Amino acid sequence: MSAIEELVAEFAKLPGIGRKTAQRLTYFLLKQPREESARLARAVAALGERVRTCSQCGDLTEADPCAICTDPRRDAGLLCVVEEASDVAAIERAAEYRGLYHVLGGRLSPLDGVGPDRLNVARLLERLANGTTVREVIVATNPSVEGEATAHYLERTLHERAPALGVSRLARGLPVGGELEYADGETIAQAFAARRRFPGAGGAEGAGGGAAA
Amino acid sequence: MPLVTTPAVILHVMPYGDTSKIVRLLTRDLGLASGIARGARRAKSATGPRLDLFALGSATLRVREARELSPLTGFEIARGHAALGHDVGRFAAASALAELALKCAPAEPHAEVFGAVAGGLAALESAAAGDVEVTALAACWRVVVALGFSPSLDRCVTCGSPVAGTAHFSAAQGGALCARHAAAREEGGGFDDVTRLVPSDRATLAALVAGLLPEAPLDARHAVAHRRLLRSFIRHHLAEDRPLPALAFWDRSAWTATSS
Ligand SMILES: [Zn+2]
Ligand SMILES: [Zn+2]
Repeated sequence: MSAIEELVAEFAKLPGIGRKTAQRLTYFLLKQPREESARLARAVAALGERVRTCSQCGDLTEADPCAICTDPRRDAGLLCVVEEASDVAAIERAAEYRGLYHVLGGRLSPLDGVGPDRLNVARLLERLANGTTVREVIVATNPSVEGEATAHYLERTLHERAPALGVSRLARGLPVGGELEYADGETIAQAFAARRRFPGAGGAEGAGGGAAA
Repeated sequence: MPLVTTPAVILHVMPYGDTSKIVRLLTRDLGLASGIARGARRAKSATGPRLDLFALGSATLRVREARELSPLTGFEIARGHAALGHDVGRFAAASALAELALKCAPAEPHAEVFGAVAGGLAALESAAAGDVEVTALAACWRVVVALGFSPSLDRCVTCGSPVAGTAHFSAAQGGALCARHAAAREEGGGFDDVTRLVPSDRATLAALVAGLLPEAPLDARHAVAHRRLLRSFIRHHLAEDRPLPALAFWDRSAWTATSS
């Protein structure tokens, strides 16, 4: 395979990039000064070398544990569970929530072969085992059918494994079927403030309001 | 490029690019179809949030000759199935039903299969908590039968002689075996696809295959056995070696509380 074909094939693997776009990108790079494509190559290589997942929360980070997990100003009593690292970024942009995170790395999706064992659930249970500082888990999976099913699975599992823990779900300010990543900061802040306890979940009553803000 | 509007059920949703979604639909008028909804993941998108798993509605597709992916220009919801996400048992069963349609339904339109899938999802959502398991089994069997794979329960699949009382059911052979042929199978070895059915089990299976809820409720042990039998039947007759992860997910765990 020629160098051109190889790069076209690599670009074409990226989401949303078809073969034509991959070719266009490749020929664009060929017309640039050589230093430009070298810089791109270095940035791509650095991604693999420097970025890893935080061993605590599963977020993407260059330092393990990540800056959020090690920040003493964060409230270690609150743990917000999200599907993807991009959701952490969205919630951080809203600048309302001051607790810690846990990234599942996806959601229950039987049709794609994703069961609980393919998600970062075992580590979550470890973090919530005896001696945990966490008082409340806020499940912030997307308001889609799969995100809801994941939330209910977590609620049930946490209820069995840590019955004293409060478990709440983000309020429905977010459109049903929508995605956290695409919501604006105001909507995310409101969804946190109005979060609700799962019926039947343990812990103290009254999740909403001050704790998150 | 004709615009086609057809009743449709969403069976799979995949994010595509920055802002789009690709959905797999079972439609009444076009059969299985794939649609791309551009901009559907934007916060302000009107159609986007409606494009959620299991929703039943009216889909408008710009159908292009010899193209697999059609632009999906509209989706009006007749019945969203958000509640299927509120219970892992219902969700697992609905996923299995969706997978059965996605992997085993013909590409061409098939009104009976469409009706069985759409009706099955609605029944799963509204089923009483204790009926989720039998509703799921009946819904899946209805799709299997609509696809033309009806198991023989009253006559031996090998010799056609009537079968009464306790009988053996061979998933691989597609139905009941008389005593003689069950004995022959057992001697020949490789008996894993065979289930022994006492008369009440056979009555339950007959009801499920007819798409009905059996009169007696299923306890947990029987629910497991009926899931296994269905899955084995599908694997032997419909799946053609394609993996069926959602059926496995549904089968693997006791997601649903059954009367025990
Ligand atoms: Zn971390
Ligand atoms: Zn026989």
